[in-house]
Amino acid sequence: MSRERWGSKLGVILAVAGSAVGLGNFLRFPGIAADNGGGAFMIPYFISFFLLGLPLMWIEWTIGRFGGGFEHSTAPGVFQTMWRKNRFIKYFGVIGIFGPTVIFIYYTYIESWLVGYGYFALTGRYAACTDSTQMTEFLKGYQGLVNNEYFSGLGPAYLFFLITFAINILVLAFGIRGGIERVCKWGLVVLFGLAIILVVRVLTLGAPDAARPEWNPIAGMGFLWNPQWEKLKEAKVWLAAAGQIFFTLSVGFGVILTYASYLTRQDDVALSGLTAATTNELAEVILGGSIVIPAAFAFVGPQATQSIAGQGLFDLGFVTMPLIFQKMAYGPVFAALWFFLLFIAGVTSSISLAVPAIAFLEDEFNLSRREAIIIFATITFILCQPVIFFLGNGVLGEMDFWGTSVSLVVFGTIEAILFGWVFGIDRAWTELHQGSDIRIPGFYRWIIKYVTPLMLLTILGVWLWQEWKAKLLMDGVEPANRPFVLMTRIGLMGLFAFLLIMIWVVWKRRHPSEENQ
Amino acid sequence: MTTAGWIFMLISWGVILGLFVYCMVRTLSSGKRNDK
Repeated sequence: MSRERWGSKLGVILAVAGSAVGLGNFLRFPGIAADNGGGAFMIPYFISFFLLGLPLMWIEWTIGRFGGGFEHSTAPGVFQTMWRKNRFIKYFGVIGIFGPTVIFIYYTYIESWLVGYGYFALTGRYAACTDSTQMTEFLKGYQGLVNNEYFSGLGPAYLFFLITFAINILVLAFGIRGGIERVCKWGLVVLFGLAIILVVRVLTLGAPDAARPEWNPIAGMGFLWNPQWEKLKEAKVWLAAAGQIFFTLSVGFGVILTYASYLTRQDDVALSGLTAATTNELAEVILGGSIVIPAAFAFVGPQATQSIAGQGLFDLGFVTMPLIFQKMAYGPVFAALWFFLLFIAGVTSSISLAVPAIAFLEDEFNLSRREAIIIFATITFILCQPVIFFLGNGVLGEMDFWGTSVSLVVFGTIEAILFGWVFGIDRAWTELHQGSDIRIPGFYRWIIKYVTPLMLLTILGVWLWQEWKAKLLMDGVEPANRPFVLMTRIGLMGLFAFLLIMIWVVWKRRHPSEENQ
Repeated sequence: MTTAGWIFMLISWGVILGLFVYCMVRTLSSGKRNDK
């Protein structure tokens, strides 16, 4: 069976950028930046980008292409080819399949809300909601958390979920070149087009309330960009910047590694990694930073914007933004464009999350793409059900913690140490520059070997210190929800164990000499 | 928006746009080179 390849260099770059550009670019970044020092936040943000994000981007591209040369597309096989003497290293690679699969399970459901809300915006379904209390009730009704005058069950949410899930599976069924590459190429062009339209609309709002001329989008930009120097003294601001860079670039998922495995050895990874990263930054800092906060500031003023900046992704996306668009001329149209933009950002990310598990089934079990997708779709569809039906019981939050916070940082740390120390920085540097279109400055050897792993270990250490005990003991979880959270945890452990066993079985069958060393 | 705010915004945008344009030009030109 011949190995699938990308159709063009730009195609793989846009696929990686599409994976990176997600809801967080438009909903998470502006709030975090405004909350953590405004313009001053960009200092730790850029430092993290150059010392953490970019090196990890290069690491994932390089090891992915390296592993692809040995017919491995996922972390277990890639790690094993990098450290042949250690027969246990492949088991660490399971995180690179587990993490994205878990995120896919709940991300597709959230993505489906965007389809629903886009439809509701155009049909005026939530037009009667004029304040955040009503809009929150609308969201809760849609999510099936309560029966109210807006919704009397999960029917609409489930229908939009089915549509979204089917779209994802359909794109995946067309393969790397025919599905993912094509969707990401066109999707990102449309996404950037929509984002530019929305930025222009927001920045030309003027002062919607004539009695308050100081409430305008330019002052809103000031809310985001005016530096608060004292914030730089706070460690949490530096951690927030590092965390944001980590999550926004899609590094540590195992997705870039899999995408890069479909490159040939002659393909560049250095320039491609840099291009994908800067495309994501363009979407996040320039476009993402110029919609939510300036629009909120112009319509609801500085005090309310302050609380909006601290809101979670759901409240901002599904409560505040619909209300803000309602206050605009042609609001339903702009709201629909907004939700469509977020949907594209979502779908280009969610398809990428499915790829490691599908590639694992194809490569290691010799399954056809069709068989691998049927297995993946069946398992993830079943696992989506608890997220949908027990949303209010903490299931999603628990999956997010293990799938995102833990898996990403742990996996990124393993990759960085493996690349700089086990594979060896000299060999790694040569591999990174194989077929390269640019020459990376020499000081990055030092950064990749020492600084990036140290930063990752610091983040991991701080998170362990701050969160793990409380998380493990379920502090803050309502007693009624604890059985649901516990069941989710047991289910995730089961999935993790199942993947470990699959790896053991595969290596016993296909690589017995390695397994019996 | 204060002067410092403008400076931070313009520098940040400049760095990102500069890198983006550089990368895209290099990527597209190397693509053409490979096609030949």
